[in-house]
Amino acid sequence: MIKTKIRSILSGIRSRIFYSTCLVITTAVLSFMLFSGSIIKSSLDKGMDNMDRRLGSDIMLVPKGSREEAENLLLEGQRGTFYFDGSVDDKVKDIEGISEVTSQCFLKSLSADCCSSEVELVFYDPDTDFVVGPWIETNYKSDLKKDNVIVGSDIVTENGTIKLFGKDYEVVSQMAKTGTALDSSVYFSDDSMASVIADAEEKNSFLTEEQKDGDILSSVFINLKDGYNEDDVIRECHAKAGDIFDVVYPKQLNESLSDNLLRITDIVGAVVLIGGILLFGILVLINSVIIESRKQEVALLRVLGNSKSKMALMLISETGAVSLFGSLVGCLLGALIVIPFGRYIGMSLSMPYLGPSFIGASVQVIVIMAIVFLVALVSSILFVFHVTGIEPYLALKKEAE
Amino acid sequence: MTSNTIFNNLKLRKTLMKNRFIVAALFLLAGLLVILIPTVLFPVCESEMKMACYYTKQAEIGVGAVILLLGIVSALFSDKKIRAGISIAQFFNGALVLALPLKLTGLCKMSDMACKAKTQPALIVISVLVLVIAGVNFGYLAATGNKDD
Repeated sequence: MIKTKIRSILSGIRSRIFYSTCLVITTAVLSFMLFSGSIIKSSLDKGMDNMDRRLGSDIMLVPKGSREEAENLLLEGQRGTFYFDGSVDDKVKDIEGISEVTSQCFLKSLSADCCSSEVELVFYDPDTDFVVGPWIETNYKSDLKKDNVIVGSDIVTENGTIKLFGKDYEVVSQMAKTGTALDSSVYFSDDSMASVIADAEEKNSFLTEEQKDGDILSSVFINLKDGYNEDDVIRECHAKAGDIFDVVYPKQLNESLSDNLLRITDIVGAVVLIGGILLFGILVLINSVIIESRKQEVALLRVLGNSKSKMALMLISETGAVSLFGSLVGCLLGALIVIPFGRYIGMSLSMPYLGPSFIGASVQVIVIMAIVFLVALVSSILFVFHVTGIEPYLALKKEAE
Repeated sequence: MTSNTIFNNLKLRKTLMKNRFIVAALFLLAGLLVILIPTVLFPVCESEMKMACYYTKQAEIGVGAVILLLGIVSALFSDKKIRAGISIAQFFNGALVLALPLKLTGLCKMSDMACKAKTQPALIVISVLVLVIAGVNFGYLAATGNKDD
């Protein structure tokens, strides 16, 4: 019974192959647009959520003249090589109004190219840290020893170790995915800095004089106590540490990024809406041609004893089958292009971008197929009622004339 | 043989002939893209040192050339069995295009490097297309029986 129905639907589609192909192409383009748009939007939203969590301090002190690089670090995770005196955090930590202070030091591209260094190194103080901690996915019990590291989510480890400058380090934990270059970083305790620099020198990796010196910091993250003014605290920091730093406000950055995201999603939404309306118009046109051309066939089948509802179901099944197939093709094409190119899309938009999981993408495919199916039905329903509503006698008489 | 059967046979031969040249053109284009993606369209990282992505690029040029040449060869043969065999070969070539950056020779490990952000996704897309074209063509040739065009 079901086999016969499927065969009759397929033969109906095959007999109008040109229009059916047009219908498949239109629904495929519509699904491609909806799928790509929704995946890009949800990935940017997810990246933004992560961003909220990553900007984990009220103010950030960075060496004078490196504010732009530091902002890139926060937005895209791209680390720079900017340093100031290693005692800045000690000088500012006792200032009134400061509740937490922690510092980090970055070593970028210690070797000459991407593949031999493979990673960017971050040295942080596990005792005072409040920036790296929230990103650690799996807890580790012991302290971060000198030969222990925490790695970003993109780092591939071998048997729980990673080799850097000829030395093996035990990976004690892995960070959650951020969708930025932070995913390819390795995190050391600041106690390991001297030995890592010594190893790098031994392996003839390129190091600047500052890096060789060792007593350096790249940024100091500060959280304020409630009720204290940022400007007062910064003034006090300048008084204690000297005029050697610029200030970055992570929360302001976050706001400007949210504005950008809103603009991008508005554009994506507008393109999808306009394209969707156009494609809906094309669907109506195709359905009008397909279904109207079947007046006589429907009339004949009704004369042979088929009911109106049976005829309507037959026409709707054919449109539904074609639109579901087109929708699947469109979603698969969208997945094939948007998912692998996710990182590139994020980099081009200069926005944090966190692609969907397999389950997330599958759910999107199902939802979009359902939407396109409904749209195809809505675009054909009027014609279906019109064609099945005509008296068989009148339809056949018109054909005879 | 009735005139109807002769007409149907002629129609099938025409379709098969069309299929032969369309598929050959698609393979040719795909082979060209496999060569151009890591070299011109989405080039791998530039460095004086030869890194993993350099070797992947070299290997992809080789596989792309094979896909391109097999595309030309498939246009020269009317024998469906030969063309089905070429489709099988192209299927495995497509799998090789995918396996080179993902498993065999690999790429740089940092996700924001050019080879990882651009070359790899482009190679994934083109390899899937080669797999689909080869698979569908093999299925089509198998389904249309033993007639040559």
